[in-house]
Amino acid sequence: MGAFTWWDTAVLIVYVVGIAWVGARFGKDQESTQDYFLGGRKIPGWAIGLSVMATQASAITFIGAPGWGFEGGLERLATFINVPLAMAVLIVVLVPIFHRAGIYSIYELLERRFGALTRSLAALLFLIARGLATGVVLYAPALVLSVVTGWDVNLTIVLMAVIAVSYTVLGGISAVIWTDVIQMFVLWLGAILSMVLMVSSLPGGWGDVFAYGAASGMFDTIDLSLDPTVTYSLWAGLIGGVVMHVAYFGTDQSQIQRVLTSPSIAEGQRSLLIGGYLLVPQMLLFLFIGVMLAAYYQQHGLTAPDNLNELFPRYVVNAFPVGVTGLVIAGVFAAAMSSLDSALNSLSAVTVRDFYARYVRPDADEKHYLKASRWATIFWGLYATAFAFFAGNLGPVIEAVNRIGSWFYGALLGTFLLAVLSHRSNGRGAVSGIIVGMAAVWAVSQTDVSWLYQNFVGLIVSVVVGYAVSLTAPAPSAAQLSDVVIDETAPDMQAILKGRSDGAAEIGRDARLTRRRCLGLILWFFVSLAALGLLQAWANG
Amino acid sequence: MMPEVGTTAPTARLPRRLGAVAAEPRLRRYGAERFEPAWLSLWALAIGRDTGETLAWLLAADNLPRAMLMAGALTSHPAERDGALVLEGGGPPTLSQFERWWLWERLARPRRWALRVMPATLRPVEFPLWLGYAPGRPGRHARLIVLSGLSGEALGALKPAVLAGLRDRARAEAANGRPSTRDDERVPG
Repeated sequence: MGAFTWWDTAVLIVYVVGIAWVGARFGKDQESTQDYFLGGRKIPGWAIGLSVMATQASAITFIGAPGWGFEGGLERLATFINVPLAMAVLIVVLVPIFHRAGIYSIYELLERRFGALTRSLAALLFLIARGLATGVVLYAPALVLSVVTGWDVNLTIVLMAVIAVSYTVLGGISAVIWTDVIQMFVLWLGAILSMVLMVSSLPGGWGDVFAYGAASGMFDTIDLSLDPTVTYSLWAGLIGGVVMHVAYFGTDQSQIQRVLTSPSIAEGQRSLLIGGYLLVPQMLLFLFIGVMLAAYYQQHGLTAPDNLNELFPRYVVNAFPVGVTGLVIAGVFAAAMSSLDSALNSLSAVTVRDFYARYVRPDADEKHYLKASRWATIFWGLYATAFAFFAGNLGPVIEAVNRIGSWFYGALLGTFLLAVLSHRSNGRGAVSGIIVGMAAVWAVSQTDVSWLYQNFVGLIVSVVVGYAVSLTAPAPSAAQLSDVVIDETAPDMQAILKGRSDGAAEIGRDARLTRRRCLGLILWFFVSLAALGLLQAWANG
Repeated sequence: MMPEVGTTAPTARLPRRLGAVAAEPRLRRYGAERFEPAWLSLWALAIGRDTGETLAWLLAADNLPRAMLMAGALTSHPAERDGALVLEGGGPPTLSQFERWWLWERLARPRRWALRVMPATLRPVEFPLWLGYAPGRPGRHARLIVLSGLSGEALGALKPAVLAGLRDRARAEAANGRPSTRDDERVPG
């Protein structure tokens, strides 16, 4: 114990090479038989769900959340407690429309609905926001590498960028569901093991953790303050956080791509459902590790590193048994690679599809586009690398990613909601809404108002301004509304459906799958909230 | 331009792997109260390696915004009358349209770059569907649920094509003054 030994290095290399080999060996077969649709699916739903979780946030969660919990206890859970509600909104409102539209990039829907300018503006915002966030995602494993090796973090950022871009250009490793599942188990194993080791090193065990957490107010998760300057109040989490997560999971191409490429609406919804149920417990687990680390540091009289992102990697290297350290660090690497691969790939795909093939070379052959996509990957790798150098100054990585998104996501979501819900809105209004919405977010960011509210402000301003400005231009044509108006509501179609229905065989009792799914998520939200409320009540006597 | 060999090939049907008994509870979960089998005519083009090995198929029609991807071999049998509703999905897309669809698929998942569309393989196919009808009630519209007869998944992407097919069919029937001859039997059970 106490250092990253040669054994750990060997485990790390074997693990990473093994994951890459499994990806290269089985990836193609899997894609041709399982990942495509219409055929029988053999991979169980829970494995697909864990794969979704692995590509979403596991590496930065592993690194960032303990630092976050160390600093502020479980109050930061207010940022994530809303995820089940956000997923319910996505499942009901956006996923069915995206699926029915048959689009490859969600910004394509905006062009059909509002025109090319809106599509390009939204895609550009995505590229800027996701490119910056990818810098943070790149910074996370580079920091781990720096802690493990003692090398300068700027050097490890460059090293990680070269590895990540090479992986992506060569085809990526993220396609293999089972390797993602292994990564998730390795990371959770690391989390649980660290809890066991920390508790066993404290004289009073769990009692010390809970006593320290309660005495330090670290279990005060639910802050009912109506003051908008309180960053992590329940209302900031509910009002701003729901908007942030609907926008993050619904209008960010790197997140929604998996839903767009899923064979059916139900399958797209399923992947969101898994996130809806698992994201909050996962965040709770890693924030709680932060609370445990705080108790551990206090009991052992240790001084925390200046950069709290280093907190947990340092603990893993110092406290874990030889070999297990290498395994857990390797899990972080592999998970980070998976996230980086999908982020760089979606950045490259949007660059080529929404800009290069749209404006620069519409009729080039596929070899040309392949080359263009590889150059785009390299460009976004460089862009992310440049930003990664500053990521360490943004505080805990997990908050940094969300803060970056908050600059853009509210206005972007507002535009999508205008497209879907308002049949009077048009391109002029949409563009005005995005611009004024982002300006409003900038104005709010200059005040003390919680950054979580920025998403809500961006949404409301973009919708109100977008709708109002739309009234100054003609209403959209029926063709422009075709993706968002449900075809069967037309009177002639209703008559046709009724005629066919009358002659069709009867099924029986009505049971709505989507409604049941959403009710489950809403119930899960209240269960989570109640559990946190009970913990808080206990901590405060 | 598409090769003649493909467009003149006889229509084949993909196997209906999901029977009425299995389709019924799935449709019920989506709120359907009545249901019937249907076939939607589409165009299939193989995806494979330069060696000629076929690995997957793109299924599309010229009025669909996106192609569907089906893995493995295209097992089909000649179209026979079975009493199910037969709907026209649309004409054959151009080869360049298929190539462009395949390009976007590969941009989303770069591992597939080595695979190419195989122009000579274009053929018409009939895709098995189960159509579920959720009745209209005061304040609510009647809804159509489109379920794949291959996998049992709800395929919202095919809904516009199915609705267009139903509309065309209703218009043709109105013009002829009699129902179409290919859906004169009811689905069992």
